[in-house]
Amino acid sequence: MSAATPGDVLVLHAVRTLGYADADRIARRVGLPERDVVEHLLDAQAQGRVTSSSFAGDSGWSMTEAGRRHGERLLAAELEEAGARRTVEHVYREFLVVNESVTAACTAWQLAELGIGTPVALGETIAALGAAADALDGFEQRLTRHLVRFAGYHARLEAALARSATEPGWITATDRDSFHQVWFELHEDLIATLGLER
Amino acid sequence: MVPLREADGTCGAKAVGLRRLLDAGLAVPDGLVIPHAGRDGWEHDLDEALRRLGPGPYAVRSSALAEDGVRTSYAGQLATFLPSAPTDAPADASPDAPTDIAAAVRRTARSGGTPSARAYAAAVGDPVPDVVPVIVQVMVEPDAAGVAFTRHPVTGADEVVVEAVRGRGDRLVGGTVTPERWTVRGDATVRQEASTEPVITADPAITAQQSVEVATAARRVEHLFGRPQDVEWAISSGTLWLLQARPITTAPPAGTRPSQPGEVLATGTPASPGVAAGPVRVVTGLDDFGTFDAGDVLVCRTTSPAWTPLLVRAAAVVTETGGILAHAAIVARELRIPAVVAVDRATTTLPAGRPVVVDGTAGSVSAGPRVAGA
Repeated sequence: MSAATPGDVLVLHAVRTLGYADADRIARRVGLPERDVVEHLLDAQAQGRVTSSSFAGDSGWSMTEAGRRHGERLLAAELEEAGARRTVEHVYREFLVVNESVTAACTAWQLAELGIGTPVALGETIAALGAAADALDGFEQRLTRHLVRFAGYHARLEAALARSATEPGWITATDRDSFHQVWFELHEDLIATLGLER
Repeated sequence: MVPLREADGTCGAKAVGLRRLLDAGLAVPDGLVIPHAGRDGWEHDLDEALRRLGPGPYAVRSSALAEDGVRTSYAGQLATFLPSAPTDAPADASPDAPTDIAAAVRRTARSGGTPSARAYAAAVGDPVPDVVPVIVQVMVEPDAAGVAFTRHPVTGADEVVVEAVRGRGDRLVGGTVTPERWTVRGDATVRQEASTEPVITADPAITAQQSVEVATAARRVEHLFGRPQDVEWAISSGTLWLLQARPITTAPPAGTRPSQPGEVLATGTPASPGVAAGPVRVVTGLDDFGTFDAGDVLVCRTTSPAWTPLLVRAAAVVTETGGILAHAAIVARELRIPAVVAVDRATTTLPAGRPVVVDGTAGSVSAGPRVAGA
């Protein structure tokens, strides 16, 4: 039986994995109406768990240390209740191996783009990331058997990959749901779920 | 069909390069070249030619004329067929029967015309021939393999970087495993670093002596061709074989050469090139984010997605953990800011507020000029 995470926990957790995001982006991430998301954010802000800040005309929500600790307690309780710890631990161990190939492919691509590495073909980079996305599909299926909230990473990675073929910025850009951005979020999600330190 | 030792201009740049290595007395697996696989006739002679070459399995590789071009490289864009490793396939799956080899040669010859190779050629304004010359070489089954760069691939420093994996090197070139990395200056190995955090290299693929042997061979190749080289190598039963050499096509961009007069305060792994100055801002956690100003040098243990807004505004980033493949390094390169990672105790030793110069090409943090009021 797969467990559905309550809306307030989903919103708090999305702030953690997205890092810094406005209510609209959080709402799209968790699939809840923006009005509800704002309510959850204001509640969490009142409890000192998230904070709103603006940088250069752009504003967003981010986590406080208290919010991070509170979120990890909620996730740990959910993990035990769903009986999913062993699965998530196994997936995380396998994830780290695939993570190596993702960061290596992103690095090789960037160094080539910067003109300081051995040139790498776009097709080669997309093939390496595609293989990682395929592996991730299997991880996601195993995770969502216990926790519904892990759904969607594979689709987001595939969407980024599809756009990379014509716009290579979708490989590592930080201003959109690029392949690396989504992968980085998933890494943070697994770390948060298991209560690990980076 | 042309023996590899006699490869000429019709045989493709890779074959000609391998012949020059052979001429210089370097060990290259023996082979033959089929310059015009699109034409009939060569299949009849293949059986006899393979017999002269010796027992298989054989590696079938493209020798595309443009592939090793000095200005651009197709690096992996043209298909190469290696026989399956003996452990993961039945022996008869290797293309060592002449009919299988012939099929592999035809596929490889046509690979110059694949859509991705064509698109790449169009993008860089080069013609791609419909049929490329093909090399058939005796396959060495390596105990260890990898690549050697005669210039540091990130910093451009005059040192040989040797990357090694156990077994065949194609996984390394394909980016599916993380290699161990040796840096060799002169003929002494100065350091061995795991290139990223969780990689365990307690049992390295090669010895320090072998890393020096590889580096020495790579230097000879550089000397032979007169410019920095990227060399693929393999060690099989104690013998070092060279599989391919191509020029490192691009020098580091101007303005990123290490250059700072100040005292060096800390060093680490260079992870994103360039030089930038700013005051040290040590950020230990999420609750310190408010203290960070645009133009500060971000000094922290590590980063997570929450840190990206700080990186966007930072002059440079210095982290205690990580390697060249760390997420922080990837984000820094994306944002074009210098990064130095794996700086031991950076958050406790770099003085808060002190103006510093971060050199992400050399991997150093040095004292900057003090400014009024700082």
